[in-house]
Amino acid sequence: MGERGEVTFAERVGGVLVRPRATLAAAVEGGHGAADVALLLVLKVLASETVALARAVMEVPLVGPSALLRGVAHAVGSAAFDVAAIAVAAIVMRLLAGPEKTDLRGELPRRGRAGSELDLAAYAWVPWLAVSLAVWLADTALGRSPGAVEANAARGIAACWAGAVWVLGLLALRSSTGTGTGTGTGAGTGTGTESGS
Amino acid sequence: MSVSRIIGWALVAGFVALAANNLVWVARHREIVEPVALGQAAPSFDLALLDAGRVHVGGAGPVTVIDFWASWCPPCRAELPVLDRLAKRVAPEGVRVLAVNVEEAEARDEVSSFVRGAGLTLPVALDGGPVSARYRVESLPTMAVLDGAGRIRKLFVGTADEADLVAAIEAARRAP
Repeated sequence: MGERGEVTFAERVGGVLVRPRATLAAAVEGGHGAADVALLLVLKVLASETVALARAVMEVPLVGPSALLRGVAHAVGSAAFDVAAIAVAAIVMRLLAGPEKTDLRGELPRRGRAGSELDLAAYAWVPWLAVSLAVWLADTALGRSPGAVEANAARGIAACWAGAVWVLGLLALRSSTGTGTGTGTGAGTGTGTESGS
Repeated sequence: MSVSRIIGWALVAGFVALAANNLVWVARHREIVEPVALGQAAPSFDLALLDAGRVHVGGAGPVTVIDFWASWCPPCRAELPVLDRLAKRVAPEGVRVLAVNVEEAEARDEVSSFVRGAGLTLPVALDGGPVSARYRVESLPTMAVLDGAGRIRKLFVGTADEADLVAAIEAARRAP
């Protein structure tokens, strides 16, 4: 926690992995999920496309600024799968969250604040990024590429973990008004604070 | 410091470490990463031709236009008939136009079918990728114009106007 009691970027991102219920409950009320994961994706692109970006910079004197634009476009495109996965996860989460109970005027207010499903879906992608990073670091340290079995196992673990966090996010969203099905997570509505551990 | 914060910073540090590692690799392998430069000797190669025989590029020789292309690349397919016309036009001047297909061997039938269908007569060389990698081809089509000393005089990334190609060929012919 920060000096003034606010939860920092590192605490939120790390919290998704070690304290997902509390972190996701807090994200429903005042999340930074999309911004936090966008920063992680930028870091991932810089790490995964370093060679391509360096080559693009070197090509500028040879073929002009278009080389740099092409390199950047290629690098940004490498995150398309991540962005698409988060977007789909957010849409499905919004659909499954459903509206609150009809009030006296017959209106159907949405659950959670606007954009909370995007924050939650983005946070659900953090385990995928974390497992990918761990595999990547291990391969770099060992100086080899993973075999097909290892790669599929890592993807399976990452997908299951991300799926579990996504479900926790959905439950947190559905319980955010106190009129949902309840999660029994003990997360409450969240206040954006966490206790240090 | 909380466990959450440590894990969060570890994630950031991991990505930064990988980027740094890659930068070190780039610095140590500049000869692989650096693009081929204008005025430098073009990477030499010897490739089989689609019909028969082989073609050699490298060192002193005729002014040469090399077009890296693939049958699945629409701009390449549109460009090749233009290059074919250009090849016939400049052949009497001793200029060679060579189409280098970058696809794997499995695509040979498709390549052959396209070349026949389009009525192309310029030489088509088959490269599974190594030659295009040495020329740092990352976008198709890419064309390189080599002068008589085997140096790269001009690179075109993407399609090029016939007039621009002719101008590049003339400049290559005049090169010392």
